[in-house]
Amino acid sequence: MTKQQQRMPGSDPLRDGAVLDVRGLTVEFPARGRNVRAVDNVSFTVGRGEIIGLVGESASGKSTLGLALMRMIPAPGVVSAGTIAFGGRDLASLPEAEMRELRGKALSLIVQDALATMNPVTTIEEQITEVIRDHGGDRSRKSLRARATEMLREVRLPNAEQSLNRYPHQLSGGMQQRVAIAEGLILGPELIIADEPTTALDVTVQAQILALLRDICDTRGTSIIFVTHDLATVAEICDRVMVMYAGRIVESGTVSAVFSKPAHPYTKALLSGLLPLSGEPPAELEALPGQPPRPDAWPTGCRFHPRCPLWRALGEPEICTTTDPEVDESDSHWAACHFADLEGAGR
Amino acid sequence: MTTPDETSADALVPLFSVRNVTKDFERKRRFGRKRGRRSRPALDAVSVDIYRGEAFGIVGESGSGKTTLGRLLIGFDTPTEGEVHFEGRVVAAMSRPERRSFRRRVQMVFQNPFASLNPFRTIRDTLSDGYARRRMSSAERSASMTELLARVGLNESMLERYPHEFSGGQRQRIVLARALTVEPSVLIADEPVSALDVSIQAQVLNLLNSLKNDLGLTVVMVTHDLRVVNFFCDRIAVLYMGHIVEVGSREAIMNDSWHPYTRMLISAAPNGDPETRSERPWVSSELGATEPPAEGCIFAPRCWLRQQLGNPERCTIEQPTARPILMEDGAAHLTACHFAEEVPQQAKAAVGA
Repeated sequence: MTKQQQRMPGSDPLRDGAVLDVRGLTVEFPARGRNVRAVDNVSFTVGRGEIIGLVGESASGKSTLGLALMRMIPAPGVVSAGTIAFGGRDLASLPEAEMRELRGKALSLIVQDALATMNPVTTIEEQITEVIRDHGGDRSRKSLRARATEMLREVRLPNAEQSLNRYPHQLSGGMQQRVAIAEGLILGPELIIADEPTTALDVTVQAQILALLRDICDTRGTSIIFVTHDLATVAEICDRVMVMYAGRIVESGTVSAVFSKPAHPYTKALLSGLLPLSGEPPAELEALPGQPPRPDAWPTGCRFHPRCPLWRALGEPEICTTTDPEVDESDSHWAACHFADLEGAGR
Repeated sequence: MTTPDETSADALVPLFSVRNVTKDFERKRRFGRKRGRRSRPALDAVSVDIYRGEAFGIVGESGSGKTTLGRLLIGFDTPTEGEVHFEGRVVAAMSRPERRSFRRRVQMVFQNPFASLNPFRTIRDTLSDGYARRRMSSAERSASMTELLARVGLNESMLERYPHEFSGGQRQRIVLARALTVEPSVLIADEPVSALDVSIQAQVLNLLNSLKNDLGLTVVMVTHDLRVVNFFCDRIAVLYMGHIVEVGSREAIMNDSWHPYTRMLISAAPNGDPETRSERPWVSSELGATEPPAEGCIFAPRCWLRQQLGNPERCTIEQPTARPILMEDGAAHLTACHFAEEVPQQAKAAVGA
């Protein structure tokens, strides 16, 4: 058991107002005779109407974490430890039949590549109404169609009515993404896991979709876990942010705290990699050496230490290579670093 | 910034001169009949000059024609109308030896380094191709290869490895090294860092910057990423639906643009500051992709400036051509808007409202 795990809130798993309470979640994939931990002992809560950003690079485990919450980890991967408290149940141990009922209805997933999630030979109308029918909703064609049209209008799809008769390939990427979002919203889920929902879109379309997601959270109280590699979109719509590195959350806090006072050296590096949109650019960028580690070769101790500028600046202290940083996850802003710069952060 | 060197007359002649270029990808005949009506050209009467030693950015959204323009520059496609000149010669009409020298001097780097390398060939094989036509002894070649690898931040021990053994950032370095084997003077980079992780992007951008400065390369960067062009480019051209709507210095385009589309595009990008979330009165009202109008300004249907000015008739009748704007610092700045002079003031009014 790692040190990170020692700090577990003993009393109430579903804290006040939280829609989702994840404790010690671990996802393992068997590889070459041993188990590789893609997500390692992750704990967090999501409040009602909150948009929480989950930021990380490739292989950080951010998408795997999203899939784990949906219980959609592809075999042979498994959720090997931890609890996912949602709506009074533990999703981690829920029978698959019950989980099926929840997917789409209580919690839904929106992915980056909308086209890949659609059946190319069925119309948009069928794609959307299938979601309702699958969950035993209304079965009259007319009212299903009306509901689908209304939903498409809500996601501001131009020509909603006509679009229902079209096939996925006849829509532009931005329109496909809006259809995918409509599907994710139509049953009014409490929680949406949105994995890079706007990454493939043009900035003008992205701006509209982000505004739409924000609006849905504010008006309906829906919560969103917004998985992305892009800090600029996090700053745009998220309330809180969790930074993931090598299968773990390394920093967590409100967006304004993390952006104004990043405490973990990795977060600092990511933020300095967020190039300015206007004004004088820096002559040279501060680049982290090396590349993100793979799940089958997580470094010992703090997993960031081989790339850490602070570790090098401090003369490579041994503790970073041997011991996991301890964190107090009940703090509103915390960072998993032995030398975290938490001055002024919400302690 | 690398401005054209005023002392040398040669430097004032553009390296690339794109003159009134239209590129039409006509729809192919299928089953013996022509499909649909003539489509909108990918590029429509585009003119732009690119100078020696500068980092030139071509930005636009999907479907703007930015990639097509890059492909025309390097000669992968030929214009339907108009001409692309490289050092005064028309690219499409070059003789064989001219073309061979052009191919050597202008190199291209693509977005996806995974697709750009042959998986069955070692890095040494891949790099060797570039040396094939250079008369070098094998000792000279191997010394040159070592130096090149060091320059892009790789080392000799990697030569015998295959592409799959490298990460995305390393592969993009290999692709850059391959482009440099023929000692080019121009690099055309289409979304060179878009597929890379944030921390790796910074490494590759630093590398491109040092290559540009150390080797005096002219770099044409085609991208949708406004943050990347603001970091890397000296001058920027903004494309919208096959038209160049604005060309100017990085400062002018990114900070105080003179075209309503450029203003909209830049304000649509999240500004990255949670305290002052972007204000964009002109984006929110707009709905999806719009068919370009048959007449007048292509941007008119989405144009906030036109709305604010009370929908002047001119915008829907007359297509604006790129015209110079007199800048305070005397820099060349072109914009294709009838009411460009109104942009700064009206933009302020729109945000303030």
